[in-house]
Amino acid sequence: MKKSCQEREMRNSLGLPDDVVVDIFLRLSIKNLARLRCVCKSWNDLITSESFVGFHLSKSSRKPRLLFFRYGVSPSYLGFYPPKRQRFENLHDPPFATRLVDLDLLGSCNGVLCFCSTADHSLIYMWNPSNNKYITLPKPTYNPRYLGFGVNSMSGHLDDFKVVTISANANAEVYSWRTNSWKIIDDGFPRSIEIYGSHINCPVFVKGSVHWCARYSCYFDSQCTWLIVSFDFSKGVFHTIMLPEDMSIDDDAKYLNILDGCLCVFAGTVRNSFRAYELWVMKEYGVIESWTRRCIIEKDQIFWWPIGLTRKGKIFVRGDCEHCGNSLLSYDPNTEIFECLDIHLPCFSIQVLTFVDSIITPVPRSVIKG
Amino acid sequence: MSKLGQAKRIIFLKTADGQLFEVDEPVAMEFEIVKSFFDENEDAADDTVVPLPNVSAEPLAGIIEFCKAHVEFRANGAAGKDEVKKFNAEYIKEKSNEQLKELILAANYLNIKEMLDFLTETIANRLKNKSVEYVRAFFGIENDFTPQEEEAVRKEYEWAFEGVDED
Repeated sequence: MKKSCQEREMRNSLGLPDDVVVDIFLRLSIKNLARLRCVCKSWNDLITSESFVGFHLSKSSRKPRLLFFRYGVSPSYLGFYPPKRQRFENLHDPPFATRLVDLDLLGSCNGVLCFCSTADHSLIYMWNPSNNKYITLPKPTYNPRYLGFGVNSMSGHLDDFKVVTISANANAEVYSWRTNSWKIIDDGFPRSIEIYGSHINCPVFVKGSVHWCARYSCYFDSQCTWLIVSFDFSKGVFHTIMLPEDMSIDDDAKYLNILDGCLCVFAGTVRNSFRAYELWVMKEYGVIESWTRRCIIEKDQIFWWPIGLTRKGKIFVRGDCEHCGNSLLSYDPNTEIFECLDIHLPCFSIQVLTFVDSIITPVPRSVIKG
Repeated sequence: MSKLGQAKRIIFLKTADGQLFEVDEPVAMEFEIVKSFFDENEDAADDTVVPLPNVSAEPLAGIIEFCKAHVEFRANGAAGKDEVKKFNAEYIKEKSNEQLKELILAANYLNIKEMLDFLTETIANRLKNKSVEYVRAFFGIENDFTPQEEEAVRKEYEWAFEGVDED
């Protein structure tokens, strides 16, 4: 552990109190900070200290950006919203040997993105695009079928990244970034539950747990009950969360997401004969009674399906604009108005994630030499 | 505290080097430390001298100049407008790093948020896109890395050294 700021008061070569120097450094870009590490040892220590990394993350968390991932087709790309000149502001490609088109994006957490190989899911990467540092995870014991990424928020370390994998035979194991190793979960994954995995249903990390849409296994019956299954990274256990009753028994796909820090789900429901999508928010985490319907969006010519949420609670949808078919639109649930964003979406799938810049270096301490 | 209709109140401040400053109340109340002094001593006599043992006369004069102008800007509804930016740019133009440092130390001690924000932003701008050598020379910082150590840190972040301003 590095010393805290207070302990290193006035040792930063500018002759100013450390909290003032921290304030100055927090105004600088990641590129400037990376360079200033070379000025002297005390600056290097300060900029790489866990406390500074934390201050930096809290500051950038106030300005999250939306990252769009076009996947499964060449060229795949990562781009930020808002766009520049009708195109997403492109993020540079990751430095791994595997091409972006061969990767699935598992999530974004504290500035770090986690990918796995589309083909067999066994190549897993964590990458911080802001400083371009990455790590290739050691291979898990069992071939993963489903994966989830997040951080153990209870440990007090911002870089306590975790990946959980579930094999076809319901074996489960957890990777810890801090130890750079895998640990098998004795009880495995509940065998009565089948995760419903597709790109659009990518796992959602919120409240210290990663969540998937799933169904209880039931043979010869298409109306298996839907539910959410989660993995709590701090306790290392799986939990189940029931969906709103209206949407738990049907065949319509569900999309998990996060709204104002709450777990939420999009789905068509029987009530409106699947002619509309409903957005439900779990206001109090883990409390079934707190599922609240936020809005209903009618399906019509201009609106096709939801693809993500903006920070201010607007909904990104795919649909038709006047001058441009297959476009990105935003929908404001309060005014019920669609807005064309003048961005053409490729015919293939788009994943939308929240991203914050961080100076966390995703290289486990045990891997750093010297 | 002065009440409406009363004569303009003057606050007396005494610096570490023994100088006495007479400051208009609204300007002195910009200093959080002075404000809390009077909040805690509501019965303080009008001619109470507030000691400022960590501030000397030169930076205090500079701080009063800055706060006075900003109090006026706010009174005139000019806050955030171009004339404020122009004043700030002029104010900082001739200040050396040493003077800037003294101002920051004083503003930090007096706890003047707006001014501290402005000063730290100024320092940050003086560090932006500058080479490591320039920053060391400009701020008089000694390089305590061995050449090997420095090389290792530089190599780790090669991309951070592209597009740096000419020294």
